Amino acid sequence: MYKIINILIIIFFVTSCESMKTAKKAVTGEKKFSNDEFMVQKKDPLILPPDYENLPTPDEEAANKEEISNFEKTFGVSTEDNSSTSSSTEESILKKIRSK
Amino acid sequence: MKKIIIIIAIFFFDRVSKIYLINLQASGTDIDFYIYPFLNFYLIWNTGIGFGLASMETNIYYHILTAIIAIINIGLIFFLIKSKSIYAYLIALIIGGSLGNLCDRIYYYAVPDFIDLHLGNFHWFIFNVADIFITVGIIGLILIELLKKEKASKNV
Repeated sequence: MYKIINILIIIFFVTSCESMKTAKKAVTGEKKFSNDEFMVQKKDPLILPPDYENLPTPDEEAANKEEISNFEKTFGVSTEDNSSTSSSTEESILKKIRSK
Repeated sequence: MKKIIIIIAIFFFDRVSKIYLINLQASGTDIDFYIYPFLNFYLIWNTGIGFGLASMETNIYYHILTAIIAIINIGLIFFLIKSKSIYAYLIALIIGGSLGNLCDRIYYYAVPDFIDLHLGNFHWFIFNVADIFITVGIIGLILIELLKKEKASKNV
């Protein structure tokens, strides 16, 4: 029995048959697993910037907007819309010109 | 002496078949001939061992594997010297084929295989002339061992 096993082991080393699947892979140029060839430099781990604590938080900006809207409510003036006032001035000037 | 002639004959037959097909491919012919509906020639290169195992690039492991195969060949030659009768002829068949494949491994860094037996879409492993003789030798050795066992069990 040992002899037969030895003979069978020998067959793996002395023969050189190749499976059709592997052959097709070689012919079609199917890529084997490899590392990222474009990654030439090792990426550093992510770290926090030194002045990270001094940066404004996103909530702060939202609070400022809320303050502005409260101001508008109490005085009834829109801080963003300046076009209406400028148009009224224009109209008054035009009226004066037309009256002359 | 007969055994040496067998080895040399197989070695040359194998080499001629491989060189013929390699030269044919080098001249621009695509090696993909259909000889029969169940047999075609399709040239591929095997960098590993039998049955498509341990295929690899030409690196240190490849050379180690080649060295192991060379040692096995030396062992087979040793067995050939020691053995007699039909045993020796069967081992000579194996050595003849094995030396052919080893020669390719050293010269081309791969073994050309081109005989593709298939039944429809089912393909057997692609092999070469050397593999045929090796397989015949191996099957013969296994059969002798099995027959010996049967005889021994009958006598008991």
